[in-house]
Amino acid sequence: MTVRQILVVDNEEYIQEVAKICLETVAGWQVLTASSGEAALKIAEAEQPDAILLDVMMPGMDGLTTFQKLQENAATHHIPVILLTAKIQSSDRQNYEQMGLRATIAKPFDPLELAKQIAQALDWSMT
Amino acid sequence: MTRLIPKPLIVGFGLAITAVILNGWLSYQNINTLVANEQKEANSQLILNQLEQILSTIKDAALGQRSYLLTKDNRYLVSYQAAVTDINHHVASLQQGVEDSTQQRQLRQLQHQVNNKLNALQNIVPWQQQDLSPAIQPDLLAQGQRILTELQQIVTEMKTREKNTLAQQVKASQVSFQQAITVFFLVALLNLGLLALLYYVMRRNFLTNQQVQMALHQAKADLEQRVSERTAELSQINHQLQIELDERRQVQEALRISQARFVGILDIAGDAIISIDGNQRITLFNQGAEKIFGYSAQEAIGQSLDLLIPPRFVQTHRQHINEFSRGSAQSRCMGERQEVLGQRKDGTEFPAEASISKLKLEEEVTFTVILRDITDRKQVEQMKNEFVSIVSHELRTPLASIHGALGMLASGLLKTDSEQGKRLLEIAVNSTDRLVCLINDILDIEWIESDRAKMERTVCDLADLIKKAVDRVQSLADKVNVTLSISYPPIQLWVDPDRIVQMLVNLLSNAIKFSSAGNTVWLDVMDRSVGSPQDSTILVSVRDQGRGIPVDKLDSIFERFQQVDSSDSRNHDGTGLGLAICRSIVQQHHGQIWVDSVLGKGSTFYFTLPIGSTSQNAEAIGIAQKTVQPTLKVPQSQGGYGLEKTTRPARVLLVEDDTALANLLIMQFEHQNMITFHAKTGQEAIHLSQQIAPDLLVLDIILPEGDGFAVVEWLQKHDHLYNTPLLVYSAKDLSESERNRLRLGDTEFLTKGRVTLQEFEQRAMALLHKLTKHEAVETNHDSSTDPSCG
Repeated sequence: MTVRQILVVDNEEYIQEVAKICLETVAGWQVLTASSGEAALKIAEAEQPDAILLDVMMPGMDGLTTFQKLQENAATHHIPVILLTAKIQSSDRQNYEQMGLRATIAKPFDPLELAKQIAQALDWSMT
Repeated sequence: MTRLIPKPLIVGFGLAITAVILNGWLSYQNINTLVANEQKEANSQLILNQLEQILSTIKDAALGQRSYLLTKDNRYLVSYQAAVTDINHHVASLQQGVEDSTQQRQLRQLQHQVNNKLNALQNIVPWQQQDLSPAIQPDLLAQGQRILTELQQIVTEMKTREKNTLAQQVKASQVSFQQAITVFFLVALLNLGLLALLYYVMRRNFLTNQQVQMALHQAKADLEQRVSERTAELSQINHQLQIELDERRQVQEALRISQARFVGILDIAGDAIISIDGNQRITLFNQGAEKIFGYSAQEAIGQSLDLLIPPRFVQTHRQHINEFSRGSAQSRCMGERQEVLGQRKDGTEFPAEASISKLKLEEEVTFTVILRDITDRKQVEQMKNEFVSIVSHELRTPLASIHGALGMLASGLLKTDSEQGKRLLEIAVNSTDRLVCLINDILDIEWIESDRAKMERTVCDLADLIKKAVDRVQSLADKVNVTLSISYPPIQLWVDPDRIVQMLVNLLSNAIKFSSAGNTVWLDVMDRSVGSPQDSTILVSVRDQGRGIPVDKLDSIFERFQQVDSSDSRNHDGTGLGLAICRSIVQQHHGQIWVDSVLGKGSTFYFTLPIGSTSQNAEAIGIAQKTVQPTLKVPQSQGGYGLEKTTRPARVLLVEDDTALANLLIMQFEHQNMITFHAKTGQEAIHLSQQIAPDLLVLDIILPEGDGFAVVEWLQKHDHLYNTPLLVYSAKDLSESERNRLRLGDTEFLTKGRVTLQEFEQRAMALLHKLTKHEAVETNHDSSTDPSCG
């Protein structure tokens, strides 16, 4: 069984780092990071991660635009996207579901549960 | 009145009066008859007397004649002649008294006999005188005797007749008298009867009248009583009516006032109040509605309500109003299901909050719509939502790092002394710092911007404040290898020292964070004292050599959470509130803050502070500067050295050694609300140019310590100054080659004495207006400032 690969997209370096350590330590997944939407598109296309953990409020290209671009691109269309965001007002959540996002995880997140939440949303079995 | 006198009474009176008149007339007639009879008696008596006299006279005459005849004495002739005269006289009298024909005839006989007798007598007399024969005397005497007898006979007859007449007359008189008496008494009796009758009638009438009078009097009294009662009643009613009238008048007045108030309230209400009839035609359109929709009441009244609704909603609106019309509710909010949009006269739409109510008066329905333009509220709501959203994000982000890092460490999956463990701790600590800074800043700005905030001002030395601020940012500068070039002018200020230090720290740390290693950050202070200390301000500038700020961000970076987005991975971002706090602090001190930025070259933040009453430091930094209050909104010019479309005033650097002339020019610029800096020497000009990056340089050529050419040469060599607009203002005409040496940006040449001050000002303004920079502006800058929060 190959190691699952996750792309964490966040302009906040600390979030990237913490998420990376959490997922690697708890689930043993391989974690890639990107600091902007633009970078995320490139890395996703090149690395073909199993899932993308995407922040919404980012300078430049925001998370939702990034998601749309990923969907539009045939090379990244199939990659499931989960939002990891501080912008989780009720109206937002409704909006996200309609857009076809697989799940939304709120910041601050539980570091030990993060991997589990992702696996659940994507029907992955946790080893 | 005739009615009051009874008819019988009138007849009675008439009869009585007639009887009295009749009686009078009859009496008069009888008296007349009596008098006539009396006269007749007297006449008869007279005639008898006359006859006696005649007879007697004749006898006298006869006697006289005889005597004469006998005696021949003439004396008897005298009596004879007198008797003749008398006889004639008596006969004439008798002729007058005799009336009836019989007597007349007798009288003529008598006269005849008298005449005969007299003739007879006369015949004797001449006889005597002529001695007639005595023979004839007896004849004559006998004849005389005979005549006398006849005469006596006639007289006797006449006497008898007269006596008979007299007796008849007396008898007739007596009868007549008795008749008169009888008639008189009869008539008098009749009169008495009539009078009695009249008395009776009158008395009866009088009594009746008296009764009637009494009845009338009673009736009149009753009537008066009733009239007075009625009058009292009426006056009471009148009084009541008057009261009611007064009340009604008061009510009317109150109503009028109330109506005026109502109309006034309607009119001044900020909300639109619009009434429509059953056909949805506008019948009332208040001032609020005029203001909100842009239509005048005149234009709107009579129009359909559709006028005020965007066409795509017209149908729905009509339907809603019809539904509401049929429904039982008296009023309801409009737009419960969706937002109400209004349409102004100019076609623009706006969000509105509206309620509708209906009033049914005699089958006529009036709908009243009260509508409020909520554009501003929507904007505020949106801003609030955005703010909450940003704060939420800004709080959650560091919290996520802390929570994640500590959670991992607490789980025991990682050792704290492992490489990853240490890193997580570091992340947690830094994020905690950031969170603390954020919370402090949020509380700070809320406090400073609230009305409760009071600057705790004291007299403080600006140099001290700068030192404190530098102490706090020095370590940060050292860390990133940025040099600080700070001036410490000993200027006394009347400010809140903590707030000013906070602001200086914000600006310095900002500048340091956006500088590259090896760059310098400058802090300079200019005292721009003019006249009294109250008018004086200091200008503080903090300049960096960072990437600069895009033109479109120059204004907004002073707003909350308006960092210039950073796309590189350097973690510059602070709280996003630092510059907003700076602006609030400056405003609380009645100063101004703005920024100039040249892309790729760096940014300069400026703020001014009024020195207040404590200034004794004019010329403190050795540079003579004059200013005017910088309040101008620079005429619409785009970009450039700072003449961006902001409220920042234009800055003019005037280089002129003649103080009098300089003051005149400063006045001119002051007139245009520009900030004017004044340099007297070439050196000062160069120094000031560096500090303030003027929007316009006004340059005299002949100067102490380096002339105008030197200044221009220096500026030409400096990237952010070489393009400064230049107005050369020289005493002498310049040659072509000289002019070529004196070029910066847009350059104009004027010769002293050939232009008026107004022209000068116009040229200067024209240069300022021309300022349009075309440099692309793409740099990053962040407004967050506190070094410890960086």
